[in-house]
Amino acid sequence: MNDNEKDSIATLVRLAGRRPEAAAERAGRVKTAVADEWRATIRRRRGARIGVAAAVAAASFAGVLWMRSKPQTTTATAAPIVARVQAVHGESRLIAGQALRAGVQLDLAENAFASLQWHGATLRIGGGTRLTLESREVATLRRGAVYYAGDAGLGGVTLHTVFGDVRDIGTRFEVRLGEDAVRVRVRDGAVELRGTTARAGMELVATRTAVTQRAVSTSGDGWSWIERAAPPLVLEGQTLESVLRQVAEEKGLTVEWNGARDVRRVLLHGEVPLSATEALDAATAAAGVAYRIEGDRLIVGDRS
Amino acid sequence: MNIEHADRFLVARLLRGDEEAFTELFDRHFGPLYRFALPRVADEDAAEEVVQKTLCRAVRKLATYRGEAALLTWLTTICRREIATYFEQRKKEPPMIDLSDDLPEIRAALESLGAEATVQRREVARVVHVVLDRLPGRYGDALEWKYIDGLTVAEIAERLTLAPKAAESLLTRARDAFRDAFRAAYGSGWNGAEVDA
Repeated sequence: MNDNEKDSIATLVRLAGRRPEAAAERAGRVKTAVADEWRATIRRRRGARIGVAAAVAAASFAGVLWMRSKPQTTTATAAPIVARVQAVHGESRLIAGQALRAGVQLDLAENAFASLQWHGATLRIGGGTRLTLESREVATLRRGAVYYAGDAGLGGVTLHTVFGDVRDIGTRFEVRLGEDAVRVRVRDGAVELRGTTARAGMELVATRTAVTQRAVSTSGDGWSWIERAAPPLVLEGQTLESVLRQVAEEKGLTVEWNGARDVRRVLLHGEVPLSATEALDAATAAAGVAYRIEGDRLIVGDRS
Repeated sequence: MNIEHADRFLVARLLRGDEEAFTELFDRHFGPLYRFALPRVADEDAAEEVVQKTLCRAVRKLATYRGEAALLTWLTTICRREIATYFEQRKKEPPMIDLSDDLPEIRAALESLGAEATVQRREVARVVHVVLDRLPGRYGDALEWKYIDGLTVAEIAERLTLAPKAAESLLTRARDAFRDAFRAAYGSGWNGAEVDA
């Protein structure tokens, strides 16, 4: 954003003045009344759930219930909440919106993916992963793969592995733990592992004895599980530019506009949850533009 | 996380009885709903009544919220019905519809003015307020603190319990979001030079 745009926003906001507020006593009265209604609603829901739970417990006692126990989640109830589940795909006991407390160990089945809100950012968890959330900024990866998409302003996170601690410096990166080594691939920003720093487009491989580094692509099939673990995209009310930016982030691409600039602000409609690929197809079709992917670039242009 | 995902997440917490989530719901949506209702019922007591009924109905129906639109859009739909009920019960006609509506209506109204029309200062203010209400998180508040109250980044960081660098990043995102939303309302031809302060 250039200075002229910043000045324009400042002028507009000052011109408009402060948004009118209800008097504090009005807000207080409404808040009290609505809170009472909400708490009563929650009590009714819990009552209904207890009834259902009792029925399920009885069925279980009679030997009717068969539990599938692949994905296991254990929770230390007294610990603080450190993360929340954003989305779950595949077979898992995790549910969207679920709070996760410090110390919780997540075991995902091979066919499951999950996305958490953690440290103010998103943490994707791949199939077959075992991960312990130690706190709001520290986790221990015991097997499998995770992908963290952070924000430079949020401060770093640390992922413990048996091969060393992976510390991010405001970045998006994947950590995949194998039996003999841990691999860290960096899409954006930088990470540090046992004194070696890797920047965007680099991969670190750490064994018990050495850390090596090489260049890698930041997009392509090797990253596709991250998109599969993502929460769905909804187009409604978003601009084409905004949707393409999100799709590009999921796929590790950079958006390039080749003409078609006049449709960047087109507002899109559609309330069906879509994957990143579906959203890309739907958004470009709706806006009447074409796209192609070349290397790490998502090129958007007029239809020829 | 986009707005709908954040909203689904908030509703899931509300359904589990999370008190912090209730405070977040109320603090984030009471103001925008009150500003939506007030010009339509033209009376502060009536606006309070309508918004209270809206939010009470919403918390009873939370389990039906699917996250297919922003939570504020869903609440605004309920609020419209409550406003209609308010006038039906009193056998009164609602006042003329206000321009400070949700974004599609703003766009339609502004388009009807024609590309060459001078946008009235009052209407600009209304659109700015609606855009600020519809920005995610605390973006609207942060922009008001910065440009109306003249707070420094450090002071904004303190209010948001963020590090100064994070507050600066939030302000950057807030300005981007404001520009996008405002341009969506006004069309891509808008630029700051057209605004006569």
